[in-house]
Amino acid sequence: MSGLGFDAMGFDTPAVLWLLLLGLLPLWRHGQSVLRHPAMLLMPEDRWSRALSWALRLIGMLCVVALVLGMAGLHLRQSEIERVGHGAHIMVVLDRSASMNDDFAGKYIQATDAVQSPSKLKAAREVLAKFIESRQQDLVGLITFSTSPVFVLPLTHDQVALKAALDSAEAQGMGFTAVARGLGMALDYFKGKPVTGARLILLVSDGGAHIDSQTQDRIRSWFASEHAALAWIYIRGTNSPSIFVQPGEGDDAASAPEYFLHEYFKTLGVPYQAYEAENPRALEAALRDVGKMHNLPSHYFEKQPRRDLAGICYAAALLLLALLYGAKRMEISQWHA
Amino acid sequence: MSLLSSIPELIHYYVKWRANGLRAGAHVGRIAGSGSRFRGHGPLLDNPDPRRIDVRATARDPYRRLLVKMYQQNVSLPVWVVADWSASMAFQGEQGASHALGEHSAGNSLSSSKPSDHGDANKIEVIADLCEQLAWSTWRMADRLGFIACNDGIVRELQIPARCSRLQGSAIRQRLAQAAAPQGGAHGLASAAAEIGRERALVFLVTDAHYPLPELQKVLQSLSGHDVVPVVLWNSAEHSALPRWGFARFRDAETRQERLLWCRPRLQQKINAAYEARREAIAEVCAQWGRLPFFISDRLQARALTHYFMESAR
Repeated sequence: MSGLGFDAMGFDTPAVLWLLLLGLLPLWRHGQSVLRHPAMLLMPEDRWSRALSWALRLIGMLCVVALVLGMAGLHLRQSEIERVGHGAHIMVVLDRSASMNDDFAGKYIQATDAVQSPSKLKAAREVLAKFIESRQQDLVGLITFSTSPVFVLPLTHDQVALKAALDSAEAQGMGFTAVARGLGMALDYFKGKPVTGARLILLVSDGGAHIDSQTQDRIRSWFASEHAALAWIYIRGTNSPSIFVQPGEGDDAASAPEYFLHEYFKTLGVPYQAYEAENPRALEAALRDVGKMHNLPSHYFEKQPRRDLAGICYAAALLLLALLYGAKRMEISQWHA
Repeated sequence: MSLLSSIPELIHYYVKWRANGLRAGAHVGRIAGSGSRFRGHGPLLDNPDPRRIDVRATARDPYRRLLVKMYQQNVSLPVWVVADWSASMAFQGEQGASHALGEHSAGNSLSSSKPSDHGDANKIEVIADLCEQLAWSTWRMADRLGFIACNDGIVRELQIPARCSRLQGSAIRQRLAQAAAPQGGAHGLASAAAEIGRERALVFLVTDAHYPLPELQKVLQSLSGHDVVPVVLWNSAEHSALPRWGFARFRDAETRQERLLWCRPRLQQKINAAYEARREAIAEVCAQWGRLPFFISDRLQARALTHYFMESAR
């Protein structure tokens, strides 16, 4: 909207603009029927008549111009607007594995709604949506992952797009929990971009996965180079182990991956927080905690889509034509008509 | 009988000056002769008409001559109709502009010798009516009627020399009907005086005066040797009967000047005022040359013209 200069305008077929010369036509052709009068000499000067004469001419010219602009396809070009936001760049990495469709382990609040308690994914989505709504000044992006990560939405302010992106994650999840690849994609997105705000990767998942040592090193180095903080909201499912409790002697990274993933994250050398959410209320509390993270002013560019103005041109032409038609109906072509 | 029934109402015109013609007529002339106005006494030897011997004057005469009464000869005078044949005279209110154009190219529609008496007539028809009535009136007074039409020059095909005939009117009407539509300006009016001759005449200057007033003054100046009755011919459609509401683009018949007018009662008032002011301005100019103008709106009323002459006789 802002910065509506001439540069912002564009035409689909500029060659049609030559027809603008037709706009000069009303200057010497009036298209009215002429009554002969013996003595214009005696006709008094009339301001209103004079104004009317010029107004009709002007309307005719504007009408032609509007039609030609419409034909030429006038539009506002796609533009980028620089915006300054205060808040973090939050990349949400959402787990969409099959287990997310199960319900929570703990006591669910809405017990009266005994039909079906919501799945973990649904609860996560609802709480995330609320979180995004409350964090208007943050830039939020979304990556979902199960077997492989899917890049859903880059960092944006657009609440509508974010809602739609979260809704798109509704479909039934499947397969494994490829945490490493999801994190890798999020870090890859930050790569090569200037650091204009606090970066946070918000991992929302209900389970861990074993990451081999080679990948662990690579992710560690990426975290270091991108200055991204990490927050893990662990949605604890039915009979799932806690990430804070050390498993028994017999367990290793394969049987209790959550605890070892937590231990690994602690060694990343970047700010890291982990939350365990056993119900939607705990999830909400965890997100509120994340929201308190330190905010930096952030610069970013927002894209404005191209806007077609031809319709407005045609509407204006229609209006002007209606005026001219009215004038034509008012015209007297015969004495004592 | 049919001829008598077609006699229109006569125009009783009257001049205060003495006509200097030689032919016997109904107006007081300059020469002595058998008239009704007493001129003086003279000796019988010079005026050998014993019937006119004035006994009392003879008795009073110190030289003892026989005196007779002498009278002014009643003479006829030439009457001319000088018509404006400029484009503005082609105006016809009722039929509409485009219609009138087509009709005129085929000739004027006044083939009927009887003046139509419905609605407002066009100006040419009014001229024909005037000539018809003047032809009968002049024939009755033994005067001669001639016709000249002028636009940018003199329209030769419409020039009819003066003669005393009651059929002169229908002759003029016929010529008018056959002539091409009026066109051009009205500058030729000033050269009409050369066609009339030196003998002082009664001239009906029929015009709509739709040209600058100095031009009218020039015309009156050129005709100042004659007794000019300015007959100003207007059609009510051109001023008071304009369309009430709407937009109309008018083009002047002579100058081709075009203007869009928003017709509404307020503008109608303004136009009426403009015409009223014009009427007064024309009267002022004509009064300088001896006679007030006679205005005709739509139709000629012979009685009104008679009244006009009676008023000026007082």
